Amino acid sequence: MLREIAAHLPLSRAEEATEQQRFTGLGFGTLAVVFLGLIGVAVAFRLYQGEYAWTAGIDSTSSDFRTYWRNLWLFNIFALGGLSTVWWGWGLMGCRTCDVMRAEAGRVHPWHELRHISLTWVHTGVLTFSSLMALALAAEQDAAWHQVVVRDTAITPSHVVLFWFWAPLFVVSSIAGYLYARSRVPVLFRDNGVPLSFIFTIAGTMVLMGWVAFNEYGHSFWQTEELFSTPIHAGFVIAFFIAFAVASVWMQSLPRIVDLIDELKAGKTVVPQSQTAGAD
Amino acid sequence: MQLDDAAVENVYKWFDMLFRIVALFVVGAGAMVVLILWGGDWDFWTDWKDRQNWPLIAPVMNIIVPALVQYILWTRFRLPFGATATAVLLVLLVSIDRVVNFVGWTYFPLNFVWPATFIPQAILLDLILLWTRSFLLTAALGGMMWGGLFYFINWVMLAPFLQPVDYNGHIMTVADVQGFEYVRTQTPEYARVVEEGALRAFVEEITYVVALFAGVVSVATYGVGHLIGKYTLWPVDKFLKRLY
Repeated sequence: MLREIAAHLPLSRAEEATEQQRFTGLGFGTLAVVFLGLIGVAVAFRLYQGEYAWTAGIDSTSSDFRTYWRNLWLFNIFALGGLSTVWWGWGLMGCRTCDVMRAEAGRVHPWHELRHISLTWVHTGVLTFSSLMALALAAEQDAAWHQVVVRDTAITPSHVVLFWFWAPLFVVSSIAGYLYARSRVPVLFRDNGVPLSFIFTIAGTMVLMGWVAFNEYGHSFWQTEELFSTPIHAGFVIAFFIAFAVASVWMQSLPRIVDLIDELKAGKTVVPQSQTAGAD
Repeated sequence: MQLDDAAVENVYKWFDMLFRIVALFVVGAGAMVVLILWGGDWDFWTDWKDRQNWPLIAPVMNIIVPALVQYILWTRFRLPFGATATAVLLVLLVSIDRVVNFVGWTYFPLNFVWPATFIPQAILLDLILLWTRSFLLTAALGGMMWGGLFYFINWVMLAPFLQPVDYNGHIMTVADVQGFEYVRTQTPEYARVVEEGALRAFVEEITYVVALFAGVVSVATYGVGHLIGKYTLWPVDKFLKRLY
C-alpha cells in the first residue's frame, strides 16, 4: 500500500536528477547528523536527570514526580511510537531512484547501491549505539541510582530513560534497519529469503524487551533486586549475545561491497539476475 | 562512472571508519553488560573487592567478550589486538560511567567506586595468540594468566584500601569503613563483610588458591567467548569465505 502511495507522488528528484545528483556521497552527512543527535539526546537525558531526579524523583506519589517523570515517560512512549511509524514506513516505501535506475538500465548503479549499504550500516549503528546506552551506560547508571534510592515504582528516573527510551529504540532500530536493508539492498537481504543475520539481531532485541518485562515483574517480589549480579539480570546478557548477530550484517555485506567497488574501478557494470527490470 | 585508485582507497577507508564506529558501540556494550550484570557488584565497590569472590568472578566473566572479539578479529582479519582493544574500551566506558553517574549523580566518592583494570591481562592474551598462533595455547596459557594475574595486577590500586583501621574498637580495613559510611540499598548489615567461611584463617595463602582457580575457570570461559564468536559469524560464513 505504501509503495502505491509513493508511486503516485511526483518523481521530481529521480526524474530531474542529474548525474551528480544521483551519485551522492556515501552518507557521511547522515552519519554525522544521526550520531550527533543521539549523543545530544543522551546528554540531554543525563542533564535532565541531574536536575530533577533528586528534587522530584524520590516520591512517586508527589505532584512533582508526575510533572517531571510521568510526563517524560509518556513523552518517550509516544515519541518512540511516532518515530517507529515514520521510520518503518519510510523503510517499507522503497527507493524511487532505484526504481528509475532499474527501469532505465536494468539494475541499480553500483555507487547508489554502495550508498544504500552504507546507510544500512548507519541503521545498525543506531542499533549499536542504543545497545551501548541500554545495556551499558544507562544500565550502570540504573545501578548507581538504585543503590541509593529504594524504588516505590517501576517508573523511576533511571528507568524512564533506560527502559522507556534506549531499550525500545534498540528494538525499533533493529526492525527499521531490516526494512531499509530489505527494500534498498534486496540482493543481500531479500532475494535469498529472510536473512539469518537480521533474524538473530531482531530476536535479540525482542528477548531484551521481554526480559525487561520479566525483570520488573521479578523486582516486585524480591528486595535483593538492588544487587546487580543476580540471576534475574542474567537474561540481559544472553539477549545481547543474540543481538550481537548484527556483526553478521556487516560481514554479509563485505563481499558485495568489494564486488561493487571492483565494478566501479573497472568502469563497467554487470547486471545480476535478481536486479533485472522484470524482477519484483 | 569510474573510480580511480585514490577514489577506491577513499571508499574502502569510509567503510573501514564506519565499521569501526558501529562495531565500537556494540563491543563496548557487550563488554560492559557482561561486567556489570555478571560481576557488577564486586566491581562497583572497594569493600566488595575481597579475596574470595572478586578475584574469581571478575576475570572469569570478563574474559568472554575479549575472547569473542579476539576470535573474530584473528580468524577473519588476522588482527592481533582484539582482547586489548576490548579491554581498553571496557575500562574507558566503565570509568566514564563511574565518574558521570556514581560520582556525578549519586555522589559516591571515586575512590570507593573505581573500576578494576583488565588491560595488562588482555595485552598478554593477545601477545600469546600472536606468538603461538594457536587458540589452544592461548586458551591454556593466556586464560591461566588472565585469571591468575587479575588480583595481583589490581593489587596496586587496592592496597591502600586494605590498610587496617581501628574502628570503634574493631580492626577493619579502610574499604570496610568506606562501606559503613556509604550504606547502599543492597547492604543489610550481615552482608557487609563479603568474605565468607574459614577464609580469614588462611591469611595470605587463600589469594593464591583463588588466583589458581580463577585461571583454570578462565580457560573454560575463554572457550565460551570463542563459541559465541563462532556462532555470531555462522549465519554468513558461506559468504565470507569468498574474501580469502
